[in-house]
Amino acid sequence: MLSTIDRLIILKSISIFSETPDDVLVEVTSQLKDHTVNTGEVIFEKGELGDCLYIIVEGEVRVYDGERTLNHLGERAVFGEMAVLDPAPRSTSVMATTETRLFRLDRDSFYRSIGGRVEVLYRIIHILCQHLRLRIDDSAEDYKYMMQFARVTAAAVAVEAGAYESSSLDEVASRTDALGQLARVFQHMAAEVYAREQRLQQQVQALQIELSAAKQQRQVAEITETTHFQDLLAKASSLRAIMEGTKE
Amino acid sequence: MARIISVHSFRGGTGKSNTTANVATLLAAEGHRVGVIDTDIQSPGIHILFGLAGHEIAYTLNDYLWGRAEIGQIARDITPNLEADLRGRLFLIPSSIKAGDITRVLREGYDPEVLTRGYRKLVEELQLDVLMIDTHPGLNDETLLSIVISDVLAIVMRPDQQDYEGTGVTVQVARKLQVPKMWLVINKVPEIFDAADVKSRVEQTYGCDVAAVMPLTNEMVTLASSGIFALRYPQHRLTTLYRQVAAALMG
Repeated sequence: MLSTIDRLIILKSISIFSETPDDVLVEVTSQLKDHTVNTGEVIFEKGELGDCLYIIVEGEVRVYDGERTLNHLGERAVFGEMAVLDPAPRSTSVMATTETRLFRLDRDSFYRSIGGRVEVLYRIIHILCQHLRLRIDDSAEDYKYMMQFARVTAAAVAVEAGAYESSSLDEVASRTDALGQLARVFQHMAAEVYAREQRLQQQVQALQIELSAAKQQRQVAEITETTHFQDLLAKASSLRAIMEGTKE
Repeated sequence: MARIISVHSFRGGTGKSNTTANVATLLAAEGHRVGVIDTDIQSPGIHILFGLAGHEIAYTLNDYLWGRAEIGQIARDITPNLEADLRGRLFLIPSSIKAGDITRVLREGYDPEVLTRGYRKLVEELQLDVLMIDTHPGLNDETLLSIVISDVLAIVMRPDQQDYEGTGVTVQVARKLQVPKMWLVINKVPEIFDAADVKSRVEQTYGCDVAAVMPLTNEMVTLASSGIFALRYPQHRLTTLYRQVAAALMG
Protein backbone atom coordinates (compact mmCIF):
# COMPACT_ATOMS: atom_id res chain seq x y z
CA MET A 1 0.00 0.00 0.00
CA LEU A 2 1.19 3.46 -0.85
CA SER A 3 1.22 6.13 1.80
CA THR A 4 -0.85 9.31 1.46
CA ILE A 5 2.36 11.18 0.65
CA ASP A 6 3.24 8.75 -2.15
CA ARG A 7 -0.25 9.10 -3.57
CA LEU A 8 -0.08 12.87 -3.31
CA ILE A 9 3.26 12.90 -5.19
CA ILE A 10 1.76 10.76 -7.94
CA LEU A 11 -1.34 12.96 -8.22
CA LYS A 12 0.74 16.11 -8.34
CA SER A 13 2.67 14.74 -11.31
CA ILE A 14 -0.53 14.24 -13.28
CA SER A 15 -1.34 17.07 -15.63
CA ILE A 16 -5.03 17.45 -14.73
CA PHE A 17 -4.13 18.01 -11.08
CA SER A 18 -1.00 20.09 -11.63
CA GLU A 19 -2.61 23.31 -10.48
CA THR A 20 -4.78 21.90 -7.71
CA PRO A 21 -3.83 22.86 -4.13
CA ASP A 22 -2.35 20.08 -1.97
CA ASP A 23 -5.13 20.13 0.60
CA VAL A 24 -7.68 19.34 -2.08
CA LEU A 25 -5.46 16.57 -3.48
CA VAL A 26 -5.03 15.03 -0.04
CA GLU A 27 -8.80 14.63 0.07
CA VAL A 28 -8.69 13.05 -3.40
CA THR A 29 -6.05 10.53 -2.27
CA SER A 30 -8.49 9.17 0.27
CA GLN A 31 -11.00 8.50 -2.48
CA LEU A 32 -8.55 6.57 -4.73
CA LYS A 33 -8.97 2.82 -4.97
CA ASP A 34 -6.00 0.60 -5.86
CA HIS A 35 -6.55 -1.69 -8.79
CA THR A 36 -3.99 -4.10 -10.24
CA VAL A 37 -4.48 -5.86 -13.58
CA ASN A 38 -2.47 -8.64 -15.21
CA THR A 39 -0.95 -8.65 -18.67
CA GLY A 40 -3.74 -9.03 -21.28
CA GLU A 41 -6.50 -8.29 -18.79
CA VAL A 42 -9.28 -6.04 -20.10
CA ILE A 43 -9.90 -3.03 -17.85
CA PHE A 44 -13.10 -2.05 -19.57
CA GLU A 45 -14.73 -2.73 -22.90
CA LYS A 46 -16.33 -0.41 -25.41
CA GLY A 47 -20.07 -0.15 -24.81
CA GLU A 48 -19.91 -0.86 -21.06
CA LEU A 49 -21.40 1.71 -18.76
CA GLY A 50 -18.51 3.44 -17.04
CA ASP A 51 -18.56 5.38 -13.80
CA CYS A 52 -14.88 5.95 -12.99
CA LEU A 53 -11.60 7.21 -14.37
CA TYR A 54 -8.18 5.54 -14.07
CA ILE A 55 -4.68 6.81 -13.39
CA ILE A 56 -1.75 4.59 -14.34
CA VAL A 57 0.67 4.25 -11.41
CA GLU A 58 2.87 1.70 -13.07
CA GLY A 59 2.69 -0.33 -16.29
CA GLU A 60 1.15 0.23 -19.70
CA VAL A 61 -2.24 -0.10 -21.37
CA ARG A 62 -3.48 -0.30 -24.92
CA VAL A 63 -6.54 1.75 -25.98
CA TYR A 64 -8.31 0.05 -28.86
CA ASP A 65 -11.47 -0.25 -30.86
CA GLY A 66 -11.99 -3.73 -32.25
CA GLU A 67 -8.86 -4.63 -34.19
CA ARG A 68 -7.55 -1.12 -34.28
CA THR A 69 -5.14 0.22 -31.64
CA LEU A 70 -5.83 3.87 -30.94
CA ASN A 71 -3.16 4.59 -28.36
CA HIS A 72 -0.67 3.22 -25.84
CA LEU A 73 -0.62 4.90 -22.44
CA GLY A 74 2.06 4.66 -19.75
CA GLU A 75 2.73 5.86 -16.21
CA ARG A 76 0.84 8.94 -14.98
CA ALA A 77 -1.60 8.84 -17.87
CA VAL A 78 -5.32 9.24 -17.21
CA PHE A 79 -8.00 7.32 -19.08
CA GLY A 80 -11.73 6.78 -18.83
CA GLU A 81 -12.24 10.45 -17.88
CA MET A 82 -15.12 10.83 -20.31
CA ALA A 83 -17.28 8.42 -18.32
CA VAL A 84 -16.92 10.62 -15.24
CA LEU A 85 -18.18 13.68 -17.08
CA ASP A 86 -20.76 12.03 -19.30
CA PRO A 87 -22.66 8.90 -18.21
CA ALA A 88 -22.58 7.27 -21.61
CA PRO A 89 -21.18 3.83 -22.57
CA ARG A 90 -17.36 3.57 -22.95
CA SER A 91 -16.26 4.74 -26.42
CA THR A 92 -13.18 2.48 -26.54
CA SER A 93 -11.75 -0.60 -24.86
CA VAL A 94 -8.62 -0.65 -22.68
CA MET A 95 -6.36 -3.63 -21.95
CA ALA A 96 -3.20 -3.95 -19.86
CA THR A 97 -0.18 -4.84 -21.97
CA THR A 98 1.90 -5.57 -18.88
CA GLU A 99 1.10 -6.03 -15.24
CA THR A 100 -0.31 -2.61 -14.40
CA ARG A 101 -1.15 -0.82 -11.19
CA LEU A 102 -3.95 1.74 -11.39
CA PHE A 103 -5.76 4.24 -9.26
CA ARG A 104 -9.45 4.22 -9.76
CA LEU A 105 -11.57 7.31 -9.00
CA ASP A 106 -15.36 6.89 -9.03
CA ARG A 107 -17.67 9.49 -10.47
CA ASP A 108 -19.29 10.26 -7.08
CA SER A 109 -15.88 10.66 -5.36
CA PHE A 110 -14.66 12.83 -8.21
CA TYR A 111 -17.57 15.25 -7.92
CA ARG A 112 -17.44 15.25 -4.16
CA SER A 113 -13.75 16.15 -3.93
CA ILE A 114 -12.74 18.09 -7.07
CA GLY A 115 -15.84 18.34 -9.27
CA GLY A 116 -16.07 22.04 -8.54
CA ARG A 117 -12.38 22.84 -9.15
CA VAL A 118 -12.17 25.00 -12.23
CA GLU A 119 -8.48 24.25 -12.88
CA VAL A 120 -9.14 20.49 -12.86
CA LEU A 121 -12.09 20.81 -15.21
CA TYR A 122 -10.03 23.10 -17.41
CA ARG A 123 -7.28 20.46 -17.71
CA ILE A 124 -9.86 17.79 -18.44
CA ILE A 125 -11.40 19.94 -21.17
CA HIS A 126 -7.92 20.34 -22.61
CA ILE A 127 -7.45 16.57 -22.74
CA LEU A 128 -10.89 16.13 -24.31
CA CYS A 129 -10.03 18.70 -26.95
CA GLN A 130 -6.88 16.78 -27.83
CA HIS A 131 -8.88 13.58 -28.16
CA LEU A 132 -11.43 15.33 -30.32
CA ARG A 133 -8.76 16.74 -32.56
CA LEU A 134 -7.24 13.28 -33.08
CA ARG A 135 -10.67 11.89 -33.90
CA ILE A 136 -11.29 14.64 -36.47
CA ASP A 137 -7.94 13.99 -38.08
CA ASP A 138 -8.77 10.29 -38.14
CA SER A 139 -12.15 10.97 -39.73
CA ALA A 140 -10.59 13.18 -42.38
CA GLU A 141 -8.03 10.49 -43.08
CA ASP A 142 -10.79 7.87 -43.20
CA TYR A 143 -12.78 10.02 -45.60
CA LYS A 144 -9.79 10.51 -47.88
CA TYR A 145 -9.16 6.78 -47.78
CA MET A 146 -12.75 6.05 -48.75
CA MET A 147 -12.64 8.56 -51.61
CA GLN A 148 -9.45 7.04 -52.94
CA PHE A 149 -10.88 3.58 -52.56
CA ALA A 150 -13.88 4.76 -54.57
CA ARG A 151 -11.46 5.78 -57.32
CA VAL A 152 -10.15 2.24 -57.57
CA THR A 153 -13.75 1.01 -57.81
CA ALA A 154 -14.48 3.63 -60.48
CA ALA A 155 -11.36 2.52 -62.38
CA ALA A 156 -12.65 -1.06 -62.37
CA VAL A 157 -15.97 0.13 -63.82
CA ALA A 158 -14.07 2.21 -66.42
CA VAL A 159 -12.03 -0.82 -67.50
CA GLU A 160 -15.27 -2.67 -68.17
CA ALA A 161 -16.64 0.26 -70.17
CA GLY A 162 -13.36 0.67 -72.09
CA ALA A 163 -12.90 4.20 -70.72
CA TYR A 164 -10.10 3.50 -68.23
CA GLU A 165 -7.24 5.97 -67.93
CA SER A 166 -4.23 4.71 -65.98
CA SER A 167 -3.47 8.25 -64.72
CA SER A 168 -6.77 8.31 -62.77
CA LEU A 169 -5.06 6.09 -60.18
CA ASP A 170 -1.70 7.87 -59.99
CA GLU A 171 -2.55 9.68 -56.74
CA VAL A 172 -3.89 6.55 -55.04
CA ALA A 173 -0.90 4.55 -56.28
CA SER A 174 1.46 6.99 -54.58
CA ARG A 175 0.13 5.93 -51.15
CA THR A 176 2.55 3.78 -49.16
CA ASP A 177 -0.15 1.62 -47.56
CA ALA A 178 -2.08 -1.41 -48.77
CA LEU A 179 -4.52 0.74 -50.76
CA GLY A 180 -1.59 2.25 -52.65
CA GLN A 181 -0.32 -1.21 -53.41
CA LEU A 182 -3.77 -2.26 -54.61
CA ALA A 183 -3.87 0.73 -56.97
CA ARG A 184 -0.40 -0.08 -58.33
CA VAL A 185 -1.28 -3.72 -58.88
CA PHE A 186 -4.52 -2.61 -60.54
CA GLN A 187 -2.69 -0.25 -62.90
CA HIS A 188 -0.28 -3.00 -63.84
CA MET A 189 -3.04 -5.55 -64.38
CA ALA A 190 -5.18 -3.18 -66.44
CA ALA A 191 -2.19 -2.46 -68.70
CA GLU A 192 -1.59 -6.20 -69.09
CA VAL A 193 -5.24 -6.87 -69.92
CA TYR A 194 -5.25 -4.04 -72.45
CA ALA A 195 -2.10 -5.29 -74.16
CA ARG A 196 -3.41 -8.85 -74.25
CA GLU A 197 -6.71 -7.67 -75.73
CA GLN A 198 -4.87 -5.79 -78.48
CA ARG A 199 -2.71 -8.80 -79.30
CA LEU A 200 -5.75 -11.05 -79.43
CA GLN A 201 -7.65 -8.66 -81.71
CA GLN A 202 -4.76 -8.58 -84.17
CA GLN A 203 -4.33 -12.34 -84.03
CA VAL A 204 -8.02 -12.87 -84.80
CA GLN A 205 -7.83 -10.58 -87.83
CA ALA A 206 -4.64 -12.16 -89.10
CA LEU A 207 -6.24 -15.56 -88.74
CA GLN A 208 -9.21 -14.42 -90.82
CA ILE A 209 -6.92 -13.39 -93.68
CA GLU A 210 -5.77 -17.02 -93.86
CA LEU A 211 -9.26 -18.46 -93.75
CA SER A 212 -10.52 -16.72 -96.91
CA ALA A 213 -7.96 -18.25 -99.31
CA ALA A 214 -10.29 -20.84 -100.90
CA LYS A 215 -13.03 -18.28 -101.47
CA GLN A 216 -10.47 -15.97 -103.11
CA GLN A 217 -9.45 -18.64 -105.59
CA ARG A 218 -13.08 -18.93 -106.72
CA GLN A 219 -13.44 -15.16 -107.08
CA VAL A 220 -10.20 -14.92 -109.08
CA ALA A 221 -11.39 -17.67 -111.41
CA GLU A 222 -14.71 -15.87 -111.93
CA ILE A 223 -12.82 -12.88 -113.33
CA THR A 224 -9.94 -14.52 -115.19
CA GLU A 225 -12.10 -17.10 -116.95
CA THR A 226 -14.31 -14.52 -118.67
CA THR A 227 -13.85 -13.88 -122.39
CA HIS A 228 -13.23 -10.21 -121.69
CA PHE A 229 -10.28 -11.04 -119.46
CA GLN A 230 -8.88 -13.49 -121.99
CA ASP A 231 -9.27 -10.87 -124.77
CA LEU A 232 -7.50 -8.28 -122.67
CA LEU A 233 -4.69 -10.69 -121.86
CA ALA A 234 -4.32 -11.38 -125.55
CA LYS A 235 -4.17 -7.66 -126.32
CA ALA A 236 -1.95 -6.86 -123.35
CA SER A 237 1.39 -6.70 -125.12
CA SER A 238 -0.13 -4.68 -127.95
CA LEU A 239 -1.62 -2.18 -125.50
CA ARG A 240 1.70 -1.90 -123.63
CA ALA A 241 3.42 -1.26 -126.94
CA ILE A 242 1.00 1.63 -127.63
CA MET A 243 1.73 3.04 -124.19
CA GLU A 244 5.47 2.74 -124.67
CA GLY A 245 5.23 4.41 -128.09
CA THR A 246 6.56 1.41 -129.97
CA LYS A 247 3.22 0.85 -131.71
CA GLU A 248 1.05 3.48 -133.36
CA MET B 1 9.08 7.66 -120.57
CA ALA B 2 6.44 8.56 -118.03
CA ARG B 3 5.73 6.31 -115.10
CA ILE B 4 2.17 4.96 -115.20
CA ILE B 5 0.70 4.34 -111.76
CA SER B 6 -2.75 2.85 -111.16
CA VAL B 7 -4.30 3.35 -107.77
CA HIS B 8 -6.97 0.84 -107.00
CA SER B 9 -9.10 -0.50 -104.21
CA PHE B 10 -11.45 -3.44 -104.25
CA ARG B 11 -14.19 -1.58 -102.44
CA GLY B 12 -15.20 2.07 -102.08
CA GLY B 13 -14.43 4.09 -98.98
CA THR B 14 -10.83 2.99 -98.58
CA GLY B 15 -9.49 6.51 -99.17
CA LYS B 16 -8.18 5.63 -102.62
CA SER B 17 -8.97 9.00 -104.22
CA ASN B 18 -7.51 10.82 -101.23
CA THR B 19 -4.34 8.75 -101.50
CA THR B 20 -4.08 9.45 -105.24
CA ALA B 21 -4.66 13.18 -104.76
CA ASN B 22 -2.10 13.48 -101.96
CA VAL B 23 0.60 11.43 -103.66
CA ALA B 24 0.06 13.31 -106.93
CA THR B 25 0.31 16.66 -105.14
CA LEU B 26 3.50 15.65 -103.30
CA LEU B 27 5.07 14.48 -106.57
CA ALA B 28 4.14 17.79 -108.21
CA ALA B 29 5.62 19.62 -105.22
CA GLU B 30 8.89 17.78 -105.83
CA GLY B 31 8.95 19.15 -109.36
CA HIS B 32 7.30 16.40 -111.40
CA ARG B 33 4.74 17.02 -114.10
CA VAL B 34 1.89 14.85 -112.90
CA GLY B 35 -1.34 13.87 -114.63
CA VAL B 36 -4.24 12.38 -112.67
CA ILE B 37 -6.81 10.47 -114.66
CA ASP B 38 -10.12 9.89 -113.01
CA THR B 39 -11.48 6.70 -114.52
CA ASP B 40 -13.73 6.27 -111.56
CA ILE B 41 -16.44 7.10 -114.06
CA GLN B 42 -19.34 5.67 -112.09
CA SER B 43 -18.72 7.83 -109.04
CA PRO B 44 -16.48 10.78 -109.90
CA GLY B 45 -15.09 12.75 -106.99
CA ILE B 46 -11.37 13.41 -107.15
CA HIS B 47 -11.99 16.84 -108.74
CA ILE B 48 -13.62 17.98 -105.48
CA LEU B 49 -10.38 17.25 -103.59
CA PHE B 50 -8.56 19.49 -106.07
CA GLY B 51 -11.05 22.31 -105.53
CA LEU B 52 -12.72 21.98 -108.91
CA ALA B 53 -16.48 22.54 -108.99
CA GLY B 54 -18.63 20.36 -111.27
CA HIS B 55 -19.81 23.30 -113.42
CA GLU B 56 -16.19 24.34 -114.07
CA ILE B 57 -15.57 21.15 -115.98
CA ALA B 58 -16.10 21.80 -119.70
CA TYR B 59 -14.92 18.54 -121.24
CA THR B 60 -14.43 15.23 -119.55
CA LEU B 61 -12.90 11.86 -120.27
CA ASN B 62 -16.29 10.80 -121.59
CA ASP B 63 -16.14 13.43 -124.35
CA TYR B 64 -12.85 12.02 -125.47
CA LEU B 65 -14.18 8.47 -125.49
CA TRP B 66 -17.06 9.57 -127.72
CA GLY B 67 -14.82 11.55 -130.04
CA ARG B 68 -16.28 14.92 -129.00
CA ALA B 69 -13.02 16.37 -127.67
CA GLU B 70 -9.29 15.93 -127.94
CA ILE B 71 -7.58 14.69 -124.79
CA GLY B 72 -5.60 17.94 -124.58
CA GLN B 73 -8.89 19.82 -124.25
CA ILE B 74 -10.02 17.89 -121.21
CA ALA B 75 -6.78 17.98 -119.23
CA ARG B 76 -7.09 20.75 -116.65
CA ASP B 77 -3.99 22.37 -115.17
CA ILE B 78 -5.09 22.56 -111.56
CA THR B 79 -1.75 23.71 -110.14
CA PRO B 80 -3.16 27.22 -109.44
CA ASN B 81 -6.26 25.79 -107.70
CA LEU B 82 -4.10 24.29 -104.98
CA GLU B 83 -2.73 27.69 -103.93
CA ALA B 84 0.54 26.06 -102.96
CA ASP B 85 4.14 26.39 -104.01
CA LEU B 86 4.50 23.41 -106.34
CA ARG B 87 7.67 23.18 -108.40
CA GLY B 88 6.03 20.89 -110.94
CA ARG B 89 2.58 20.90 -112.53
CA LEU B 90 -0.56 18.98 -111.74
CA PHE B 91 -3.15 18.12 -114.40
CA LEU B 92 -6.53 16.54 -113.85
CA ILE B 93 -8.50 14.67 -116.45
CA PRO B 94 -11.98 14.52 -114.90
CA SER B 95 -14.73 12.15 -115.85
CA SER B 96 -18.29 13.28 -116.37
CA ILE B 97 -20.45 13.92 -113.38
CA LYS B 98 -23.64 14.16 -115.41
CA ALA B 99 -26.02 11.25 -114.81
CA GLY B 100 -26.83 10.80 -118.51
CA ASP B 101 -23.17 10.60 -119.47
CA ILE B 102 -22.47 8.12 -116.73
CA THR B 103 -25.29 5.84 -117.88
CA ARG B 104 -24.08 5.98 -121.47
CA VAL B 105 -20.57 4.91 -120.54
CA LEU B 106 -21.92 2.05 -118.49
CA ARG B 107 -24.18 0.95 -121.34
CA GLU B 108 -21.82 1.26 -124.27
CA GLY B 109 -18.48 0.63 -122.64
CA TYR B 110 -15.39 1.83 -124.48
CA ASP B 111 -12.62 0.51 -126.65
CA PRO B 112 -9.47 -0.27 -124.62
CA GLU B 113 -7.26 0.69 -127.53
CA VAL B 114 -8.85 4.13 -127.88
CA LEU B 115 -8.33 4.77 -124.20
CA THR B 116 -4.72 3.55 -124.28
CA ARG B 117 -3.90 5.81 -127.23
CA GLY B 118 -5.51 8.62 -125.30
CA TYR B 119 -3.26 7.99 -122.32
CA ARG B 120 -0.22 7.91 -124.57
CA LYS B 121 -1.16 11.18 -126.26
CA LEU B 122 -1.78 12.78 -122.92
CA VAL B 123 1.68 11.84 -121.66
CA GLU B 124 3.25 13.26 -124.80
CA GLU B 125 1.25 16.48 -125.05
CA LEU B 126 1.55 17.41 -121.39
CA GLN B 127 5.14 16.09 -121.19
CA LEU B 128 4.22 14.12 -118.11
CA ASP B 129 6.71 12.44 -115.79
CA VAL B 130 3.99 10.61 -113.96
CA LEU B 131 0.49 9.54 -114.94
CA MET B 132 -1.69 8.40 -112.05
CA ILE B 133 -4.89 6.55 -112.83
CA ASP B 134 -7.54 6.68 -110.12
CA THR B 135 -9.54 3.55 -110.88
CA HIS B 136 -13.05 2.52 -110.04
CA PRO B 137 -13.47 0.13 -107.11
CA GLY B 138 -13.95 -3.50 -108.03
CA LEU B 139 -12.38 -5.19 -111.02
CA ASN B 140 -14.28 -3.93 -114.03
CA ASP B 141 -13.05 -3.61 -117.61
CA GLU B 142 -11.51 -0.14 -117.25
CA THR B 143 -9.64 -1.20 -114.14
CA LEU B 144 -8.23 -4.31 -115.74
CA LEU B 145 -7.07 -2.22 -118.69
CA SER B 146 -5.41 0.30 -116.37
CA ILE B 147 -3.54 -2.52 -114.66
CA VAL B 148 -2.35 -3.92 -117.99
CA ILE B 149 -0.72 -0.65 -119.08
CA SER B 150 0.65 0.38 -115.65
CA ASP B 151 4.24 0.20 -114.47
CA VAL B 152 3.07 0.20 -110.87
CA LEU B 153 -0.17 -0.81 -109.21
CA ALA B 154 -0.99 0.55 -105.77
CA ILE B 155 -3.82 -1.21 -103.96
CA VAL B 156 -5.40 0.75 -101.12
CA MET B 157 -7.05 -1.37 -98.44
CA ARG B 158 -8.42 -1.00 -94.94
CA PRO B 159 -7.69 -3.54 -92.20
CA ASP B 160 -11.06 -5.28 -92.35
CA GLN B 161 -12.33 -8.62 -93.48
CA GLN B 162 -13.98 -7.62 -96.77
CA ASP B 163 -10.89 -5.69 -97.87
CA TYR B 164 -8.65 -8.64 -97.01
CA GLU B 165 -10.60 -10.88 -99.37
CA GLY B 166 -11.00 -8.31 -102.15
CA THR B 167 -7.33 -7.31 -102.02
CA GLY B 168 -6.32 -10.95 -102.26
CA VAL B 169 -8.40 -11.30 -105.42
CA THR B 170 -6.96 -8.09 -106.91
CA VAL B 171 -3.38 -9.14 -106.17
CA GLN B 172 -3.85 -12.49 -107.90
CA VAL B 173 -5.63 -10.99 -110.92
CA ALA B 174 -2.93 -8.31 -111.26
CA ARG B 175 -0.24 -11.00 -111.19
CA LYS B 176 -1.96 -12.77 -114.09
CA LEU B 177 -1.89 -9.44 -115.97
CA GLN B 178 1.86 -9.25 -115.24
CA VAL B 179 1.95 -5.80 -113.70
CA PRO B 180 5.69 -5.10 -113.12
CA LYS B 181 5.36 -3.82 -109.53
CA MET B 182 2.62 -3.90 -106.91
CA TRP B 183 2.38 -2.01 -103.62
CA LEU B 184 -0.21 -2.28 -100.88
CA VAL B 185 -1.25 0.81 -98.93
CA ILE B 186 -3.06 -0.02 -95.71
CA ASN B 187 -5.27 2.94 -94.95
CA LYS B 188 -7.55 4.08 -92.11
CA VAL B 189 -5.78 1.84 -89.61
CA PRO B 190 -7.12 2.36 -86.05
CA GLU B 191 -4.35 3.64 -83.81
CA ILE B 192 -4.67 0.65 -81.48
CA PHE B 193 -2.88 -1.48 -84.07
CA ASP B 194 0.86 -1.77 -84.15
CA ALA B 195 1.85 -0.54 -87.63
CA ALA B 196 4.91 -2.81 -87.94
CA ASP B 197 2.84 -5.84 -86.99
CA VAL B 198 0.08 -4.97 -89.48
CA LYS B 199 2.71 -4.45 -92.20
CA SER B 200 4.43 -7.80 -91.66
CA ARG B 201 1.17 -9.75 -91.38
CA VAL B 202 -0.22 -8.24 -94.59
CA GLU B 203 3.05 -8.73 -96.48
CA GLN B 204 3.18 -12.32 -95.33
CA THR B 205 -0.43 -12.96 -96.35
CA TYR B 206 -0.23 -11.46 -99.87
CA GLY B 207 3.47 -11.86 -100.68
CA CYS B 208 3.36 -8.21 -101.68
CA ASP B 209 5.20 -5.16 -100.29
CA VAL B 210 3.38 -2.66 -98.11
CA ALA B 211 4.25 0.95 -98.98
CA ALA B 212 2.77 2.41 -95.79
CA VAL B 213 0.43 1.75 -92.89
CA MET B 214 -1.67 4.90 -92.64
CA PRO B 215 -3.38 5.63 -89.32
CA LEU B 216 -6.95 6.83 -89.09
CA THR B 217 -6.50 10.32 -87.66
CA ASN B 218 -8.95 12.94 -86.47
CA GLU B 219 -7.43 15.53 -88.77
CA MET B 220 -8.11 13.38 -91.83
CA VAL B 221 -11.66 12.67 -90.71
CA THR B 222 -12.28 16.39 -90.17
CA LEU B 223 -10.78 17.43 -93.50
CA ALA B 224 -12.67 14.61 -95.31
CA SER B 225 -13.12 15.63 -98.97
CA SER B 226 -12.58 19.34 -98.58
CA GLY B 227 -8.91 19.56 -99.54
CA ILE B 228 -5.48 18.03 -99.92
CA PHE B 229 -4.27 16.78 -96.54
CA ALA B 230 -0.56 17.01 -97.39
CA LEU B 231 -0.95 20.72 -98.18
CA ARG B 232 -3.09 21.50 -95.14
CA TYR B 233 -0.89 19.56 -92.71
CA PRO B 234 2.62 19.48 -94.23
CA GLN B 235 4.26 18.46 -90.91
CA HIS B 236 1.73 15.77 -89.99
CA ARG B 237 2.94 12.16 -89.73
CA LEU B 238 0.22 11.16 -92.22
CA THR B 239 1.84 13.50 -94.75
CA THR B 240 5.19 11.84 -94.05
CA LEU B 241 3.53 8.51 -94.84
CA TYR B 242 2.02 9.89 -98.08
CA ARG B 243 5.55 10.96 -98.99
CA GLN B 244 6.71 7.42 -98.22
CA VAL B 245 4.02 6.06 -100.56
CA ALA B 246 5.04 8.54 -103.27
CA ALA B 247 8.69 7.46 -102.98
CA ALA B 248 7.71 3.76 -103.14
CA LEU B 249 5.60 4.27 -106.25
CA MET B 250 8.39 6.18 -108.00
CA GLY B 251 11.21 3.89 -106.83
